[in-house]
Amino acid sequence: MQERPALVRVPPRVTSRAARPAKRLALCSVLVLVVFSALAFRVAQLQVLSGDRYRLASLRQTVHTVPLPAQRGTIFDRDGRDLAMSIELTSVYADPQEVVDPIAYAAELAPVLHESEKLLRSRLGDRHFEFEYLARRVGDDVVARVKKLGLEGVGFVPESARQYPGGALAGSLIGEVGGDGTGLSGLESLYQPLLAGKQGEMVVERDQQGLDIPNTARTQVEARRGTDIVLTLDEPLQWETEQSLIDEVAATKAKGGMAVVVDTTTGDVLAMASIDGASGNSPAHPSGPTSATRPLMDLFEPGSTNKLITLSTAIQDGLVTPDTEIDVPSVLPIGSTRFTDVDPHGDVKMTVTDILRQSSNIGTIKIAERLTKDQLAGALHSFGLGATTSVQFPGQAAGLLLDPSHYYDTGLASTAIGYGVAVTGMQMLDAYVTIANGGVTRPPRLLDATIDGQGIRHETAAPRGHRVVSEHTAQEMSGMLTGVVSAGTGACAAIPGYTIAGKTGTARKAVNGGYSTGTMASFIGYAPAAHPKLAAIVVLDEPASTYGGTAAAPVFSDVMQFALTHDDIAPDDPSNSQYNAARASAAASGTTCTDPAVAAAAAQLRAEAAAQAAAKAPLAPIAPPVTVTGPTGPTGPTGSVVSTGPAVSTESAGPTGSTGPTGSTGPTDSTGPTGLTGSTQPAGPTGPSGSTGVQGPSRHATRTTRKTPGTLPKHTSQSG
Amino acid sequence: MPALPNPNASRHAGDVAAGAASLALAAPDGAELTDAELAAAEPGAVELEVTELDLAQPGAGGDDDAGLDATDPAVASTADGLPDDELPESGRPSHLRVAPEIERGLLHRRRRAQLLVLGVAAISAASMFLLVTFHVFAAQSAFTLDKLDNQLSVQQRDYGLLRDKVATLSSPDAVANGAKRLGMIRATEVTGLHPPAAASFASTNSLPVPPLTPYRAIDDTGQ
Repeated sequence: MQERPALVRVPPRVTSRAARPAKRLALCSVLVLVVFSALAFRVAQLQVLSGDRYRLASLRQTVHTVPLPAQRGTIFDRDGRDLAMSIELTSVYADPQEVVDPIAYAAELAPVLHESEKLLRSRLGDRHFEFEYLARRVGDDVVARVKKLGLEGVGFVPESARQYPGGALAGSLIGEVGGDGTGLSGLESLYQPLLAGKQGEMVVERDQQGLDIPNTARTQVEARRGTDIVLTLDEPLQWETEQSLIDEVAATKAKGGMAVVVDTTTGDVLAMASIDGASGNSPAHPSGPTSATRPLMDLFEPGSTNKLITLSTAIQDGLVTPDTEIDVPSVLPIGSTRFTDVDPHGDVKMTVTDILRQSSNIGTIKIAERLTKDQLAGALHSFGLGATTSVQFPGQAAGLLLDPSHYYDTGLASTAIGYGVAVTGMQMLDAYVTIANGGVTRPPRLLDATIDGQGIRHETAAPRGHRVVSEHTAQEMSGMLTGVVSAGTGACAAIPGYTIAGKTGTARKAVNGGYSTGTMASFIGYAPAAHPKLAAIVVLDEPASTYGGTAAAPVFSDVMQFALTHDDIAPDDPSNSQYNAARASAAASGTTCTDPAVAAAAAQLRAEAAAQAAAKAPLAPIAPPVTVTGPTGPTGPTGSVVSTGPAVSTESAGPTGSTGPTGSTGPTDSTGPTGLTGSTQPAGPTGPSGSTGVQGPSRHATRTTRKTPGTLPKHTSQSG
Repeated sequence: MPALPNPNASRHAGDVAAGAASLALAAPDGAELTDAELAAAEPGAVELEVTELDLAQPGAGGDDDAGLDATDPAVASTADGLPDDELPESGRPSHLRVAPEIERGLLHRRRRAQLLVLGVAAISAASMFLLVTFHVFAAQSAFTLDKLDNQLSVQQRDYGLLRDKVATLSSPDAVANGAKRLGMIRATEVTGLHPPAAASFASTNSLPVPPLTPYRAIDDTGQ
C-alpha cells in the first residue's frame, strides 16, 4: 500500500493580512476625522464666526445695482405735435488702454465723427482712463461707419437724447435739459418732477468679468416713464408769430420783441413768442433756452395801453360815459410837470371815445382826476397788475405798482397814462382779455393736460376768473376799442373780414432815473370784436419806427389774421367796413402800415431779382414795393393805401423833456419806478452760445435745431 | 475505511459544510476521492482544504490521524448539515437540497413590493424627464422672451427715431423751407371769399325738396 503523503500545514497567511487593514482602517478613520474636523472648524469659522463679514464682502463684489433710466415725458402742443421728445441715440467711446495706435485711430475716426483729429488723439492717448467719450449721441449711420472700421477698444453705449423737432421754436418757453436729463430752464425745468418719471433699478450678481451669474437672485424695479404734458400752444401759430415778429424786429432794427396770442374763451395761451434782436453777425432770432421769456419776465411801462384800465374804471364807477365830453387843453400842468399830447392841439372838447381813439394823454388824465388814487390803484390790482399771472412759469415777474400813499402829485396822472407802473406783456394782455370776456377775468394757462405712463389723459382745471367790470362797461369799452382801429391810432391792426378791437401803446424806456429816447411800442387787441375769440399782444423793444401803431400793430394784424383763419373763426365783417375805414384813416393821418411779412417777402423777391439780373438771367416777376395791400373786388378794400407824407402818429409817446414825468415830481424821482424796464433775468447771453439757429430777416430763413455747445448732433439738445 | 463518528461534525456543521463544498469541488460527480486521487491531486489544494478544516475545527486536535477524513462519505453526508432522515436520495447531487416552501402571501407581498419599487422608479424617472423637459422649455421660453425684449427695445428705438423724423419734417419750419425750395412765396394780399348764394339758404323756397322715402310712409301710417 502506497504511503499516504503527509499533509503540510500552511501558515495562515490570511491571519496576518487581516490584521493590517484594521490598523489602516483605524488610521484612515482617524485621519479622515481629523481632516473633517479641521474642515468643520474652518467652515464654522467662515460661516458662523465671520459669516456676516464675508457675506457682505461677497455681495459687494458680485451684486451690482444697475440703474434703469426712466424715459422723459414728451411735450406736446395742443394738437399732439411733438415739441420736445426723448429718443435713444448711441455714443461712441474708447478704452485708451486698449487702443494700440492713438494717432492712427484719430486719423480714421476724425472724418467719421466730425471731430478734430487733435482732440481725438488726446482722448485716445490718455491711458490714465479706461473710458473716454469720442462722440456723444450720434446717428445710426455714424455708428455703422465706426463699426466698419473695426477698431479694437472702441465701443458704443446707448444714451437718451432730448429732441426739439421744431428747432428753436418757443425755445425760451420750452427750455432745455442738462446732460443728466434734468430740466434746466423753461417748462422743462418747471415740470421736471412730472417729466422725469421714476428711475428703476436692477440688482444682479456678476462675476469678475462682469457677466451675469446664471440662476442667481435678480430683482428688478421697473422704471416709470415720465408724464407727458400737453401745452396749450399751437405749433403753426407759434411759428407764424415768431416769424412775423422776427421780420418786424429785423425791419425796425428793434432790440427785441414779444408777442402772445390767447384764446379769450378758455384762457389758453396759443402762442408766446420771444425774439432777440440782431447783434453783431447774429440776425434776429427766437430767444434761446437760456434767454428770458420776455412776455412773462420782461417788465416795462405799458404807456397808453394802460388807458383801458383808467377809462373802464371811470365808466364802471359812473363818472363818465363813452359820449361824455371832456375839456382837453393843449397843455396840462401838474405840479412842475407839463403833460401834452403827441399831436399838438388847442383847447378842445373831446368825448371819452375820442380820447381813447386818439390816445390823448391830457384827456385821460382829466378823466383820471375824477378818480381817487385808491380807486385807480385798486383797478390796476383788479385787472391783475402787480401780481404774477396764473401761467405757471419759473422766474415770472409780478410787476411793480406803487402804493397810492407813495404817489406824488403826478402819480395819479402818470399812472393813468401807463407810467409809474411796471408790467409784463402777459399781464397787460390779461387786462384786455378781461374786457373781451365781458368784464370777467379769464386767467391764462399754458398746461392743457397731462398724460400719465398708462396713457391716461388728465385735463388740468382752468382757473376761475372773477368779475372786474360789468358786462355793460366791457361792451362799451369794446366799442371804444373798435374805434381805435377803425379811425384811430390802431389803424394798421385792421384785418379784412374781421372787426378788431385794440389799443396802441408807446412808452419811453426808463433808464437811470430818467427816460431814454427808445420806446416800447405795443399793440393789444382782440377779434372778432363783437364775439371775441382770440386776443393778442405785440411789443417791440426800441423799434426804429417808435410808435406802437406803426411798429406793433402790423405784426398784430399779420398774426391775428393767421390765427383767425387757422382756428376757422368766421369773419364778422364781410363788407370790410372797418378795414376800409382804417386804411382811409391811416392814409389821412399819413400813417404807413407795412406788413412785415409782406415787406420781407418783397425784399426777398427784389434781392433774388437783383441776383438774377446780375447773372444776366431772365428776371423773375417782382412784387411791387408793397406798403399796404388789401383784398380787391366788390367786397374787398379799395386797394393799396400808400402814404407819402411824413409818419405822424397821434399816439402818445409819453411825456418827454420838461413836460414829461421825468421831472422832480414825476414817477422817475427817487421814489419812482426807475429802471422798471429791466428783465428779471440775470444779464447774460441773449441766446444759446452754441446755437446755430439762423434767423435772418427773411420770413423763410432756414433754422436749425437748438444745439448746445459741444458734440451734440443736429436736432439734439441734451440727454433726458 | 470506516466512518468515524465525530461529535464536533454536527456542532460545526456550517464549517464542515464549507469543507464539504470544497471537497465537492474536488469531486464534482459526488464520488468519493480515493487516496490515490488525493495524492494525484494538486498538493496545494488539498493542503488548503485541510488547513481550512483545521481552522474551522480547532477542537480536532493537532493530530493528523485524529482529523477528519475528507474522503469519508459519512463525513461528507454529515457535512451537509442535514439530519439523517433528510439525506439526499441517491442520484441527487449531495450539495443540492430541497428549498423550503414559501408562503403564497409572501410571494404576493414580494411581488407587490417589486411592483411598487418599479412604479416608484418609473414615476421618478418620468418626473425627472418631465422636470428636464420643463427646464428645457423654460430655458427656451426665457431665450425667446429675451429675444422679444430685444426686439421690443429695437422697435421702440426705431419708433422714437421715426417719430422724431416725422415731427422734424412736418414742423412749420421744414414745411416753409420746402415750400420755398419749390418756389412758393408768401401771398402779398388776401382775398376773402363770401359766396353770394349763402344768403339764399335763409329762404326755404330755394331749398330742394327732399325725396320721399319708405320710412316717411311708415311714419305716416303710424307703424
